[in-house]
Amino acid sequence: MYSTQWSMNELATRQFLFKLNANGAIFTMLIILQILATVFISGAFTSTYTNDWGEPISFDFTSITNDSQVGLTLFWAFIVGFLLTSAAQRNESFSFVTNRLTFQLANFYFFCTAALLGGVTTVLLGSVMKIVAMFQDNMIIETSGLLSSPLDFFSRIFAMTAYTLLLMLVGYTLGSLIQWSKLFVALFGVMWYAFTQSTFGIADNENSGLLYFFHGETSILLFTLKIVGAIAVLFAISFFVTNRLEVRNP
Amino acid sequence: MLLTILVPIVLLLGVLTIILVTRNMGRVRIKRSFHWKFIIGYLVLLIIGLGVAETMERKVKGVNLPEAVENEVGFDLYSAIVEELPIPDNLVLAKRSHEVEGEFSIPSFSGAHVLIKRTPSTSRIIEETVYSPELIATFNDEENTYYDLSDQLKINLPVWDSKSMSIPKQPKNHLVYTFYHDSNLLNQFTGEKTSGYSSGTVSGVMTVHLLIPESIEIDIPELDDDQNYYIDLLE
Amino acid sequence: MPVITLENVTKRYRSTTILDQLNLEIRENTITGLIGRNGVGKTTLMKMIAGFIKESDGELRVFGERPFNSLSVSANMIFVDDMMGFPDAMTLEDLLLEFNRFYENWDGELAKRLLKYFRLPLTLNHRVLSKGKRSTFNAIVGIAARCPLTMFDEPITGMDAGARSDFYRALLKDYLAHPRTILLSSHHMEEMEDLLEDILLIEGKGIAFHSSITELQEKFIKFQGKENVLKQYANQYAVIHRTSTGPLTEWIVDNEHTKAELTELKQAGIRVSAVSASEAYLAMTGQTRGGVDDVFDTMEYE
Repeated sequence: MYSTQWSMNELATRQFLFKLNANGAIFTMLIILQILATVFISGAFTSTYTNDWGEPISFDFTSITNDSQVGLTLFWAFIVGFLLTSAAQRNESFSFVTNRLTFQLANFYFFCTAALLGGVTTVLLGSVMKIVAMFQDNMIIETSGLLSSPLDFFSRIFAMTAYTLLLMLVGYTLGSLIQWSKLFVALFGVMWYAFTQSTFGIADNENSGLLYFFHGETSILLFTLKIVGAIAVLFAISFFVTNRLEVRNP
Repeated sequence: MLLTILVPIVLLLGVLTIILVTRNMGRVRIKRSFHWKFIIGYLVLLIIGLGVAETMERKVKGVNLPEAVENEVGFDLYSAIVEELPIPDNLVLAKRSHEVEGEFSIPSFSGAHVLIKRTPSTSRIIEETVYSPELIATFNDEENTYYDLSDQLKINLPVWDSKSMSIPKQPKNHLVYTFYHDSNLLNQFTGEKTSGYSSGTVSGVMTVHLLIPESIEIDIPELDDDQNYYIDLLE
Repeated sequence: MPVITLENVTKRYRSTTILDQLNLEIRENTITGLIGRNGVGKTTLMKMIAGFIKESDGELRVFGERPFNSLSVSANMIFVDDMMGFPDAMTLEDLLLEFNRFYENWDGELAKRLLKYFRLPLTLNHRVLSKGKRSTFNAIVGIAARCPLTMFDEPITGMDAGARSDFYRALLKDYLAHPRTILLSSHHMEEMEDLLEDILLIEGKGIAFHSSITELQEKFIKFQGKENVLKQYANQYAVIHRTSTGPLTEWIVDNEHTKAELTELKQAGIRVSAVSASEAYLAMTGQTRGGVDDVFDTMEYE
């Protein structure tokens, strides 16, 4: 009676390719944000020290980092997660062949690709910042390059990709829940307050809080497990919502 | 508290801006292929950047200062002199001998530390050793990486005549250093993690160590005076 | 074997019941017109069949499967309406490529030729199209996808008269060459009459009529004549609809009469004729009985 039979994975891949084609602007946005961060926020942090004894010795230490690129990339990740829950995105996917699981999987593949791009570009931007820094006198480079320690270089890409992916899923889950019920906006206000209180509020104990759970981890294996666990939980929560979505409703 | 309120507001504003921008991107109808060319071009540029950075790091002068040997950091010059322990050569700025006539005097000064030791000799020769202050930049408090910047300091050596030694006003030293380090977030597994920011310390000032034979009478500023803080008569 | 079966299917939104206890079978390779007044749940029924929304109760089967979250239903079905969303960044040509990626029977050549005929340049962006052009594009996609189950919900919204008849013609031609099951909903019954085989009429949360179009027409008969003559001879029939245009009055009545009666009427100078499907539809949905004319008539008599 009917001819076409797709496997789940085949369709998810096709939906993912469609998403890539449709959402090129998302990547362009990342690049523009990164360029803005590089041009306008140099990441330079200058501190001037003067000798206590009033001697005529003073010195400026300028720290240059790629913090701003990291920050903006993570910010972008969150928004991308959010954007992909929009009704427009859903209607676009459901204009073609899909079910809710392939839709969610395609989104996830898209996040992985976007996170990898985010991770690679952010770490590579570090080199650009290095070049900028090297035009200064008395340059000290504290971050080893690709050739001197390739493993460190790739661990940086890994860490950045992991954090980017995590933030995308956080944004995606929040977005899904809000699509489900607007009441969640209020809940997230409360959660945000609790998060900041637990992370930054207890100043004398910096080894606690949600941030430390990930950032304080020194074992790359345990870190991977934590990230994978967190992503699995977020994926499950968002799928719980997505799976009962009624689509193409006005 | 400020953070709790400000960050969500900034985030929301950012979200709005970006959503509007993305909407308008559709409106101006950028061709689909443009995005891919843009991404590929950007990646190529970044990889070129990586190559340039890797080469520059090795070729450009002034990149990567000498690291200080750890046991010389914060070297206790004073006790070394008192206890006559060996002192690293790189701290010695000048070693001179001067012949003096009659009474030897040191006018008041500032910006140096003078240590005087009397020797049981009858010669008229004063032996002078000038030690430079140590200028150490630390980058990472936990890992104890120190950079020795001492040789970049400009120092005016004491000026001698046959009766006195005067210490000139020291030139202005304004040193500028630039550190580059990747964001802490990236360095989670590299062992280059830093918890704080870089800082520099100057340990002491120029130290002038004088060996003056007991036969020479000396006239040094009053010890009680505040200025005399800089002069020590060693036993 | 039917393509679509519904057993006691109910759809509720919170406490509002949209469709109540529907029982229905749609045969394979038929064109069914889904008709009914605004807001009776035509779109809801189609969306349930498409798997976009979930039935609240009952058993709904499309190709033997429950459509909600079914991949094979989605892969063999296309649902065309004006809510079809397409990415801003993509041109019509890009979209055709995407359809080719997703629909196995997709005929890209046909789609391109139809787009050319309807003067839709491939370089345009879906969003900048006018309402009519957008409907045309969506309708072309619906035809060219050649899905075993093709559903159009108000496909002609915004199209001009020429485009409407061209669309129905194109659909009919492609259907004859490549038979499939088509569900078509529209308010403009008279325009799609020639195309339809079956009629599915939804009224009052349920199915009021589901059979072939000729059966619908045979339910009624039309009398034309002078009003006083009609009143004299045809009063025994249940009059469903009265209109007077010019000197003649037109009655639509239930088609229950004997041959002798018919001859008598004809002799009295009353023209007896069959009704068109759209007239029958109007009669059935009572859009005529308590028609808007009556609102004004009642006011005059008071």
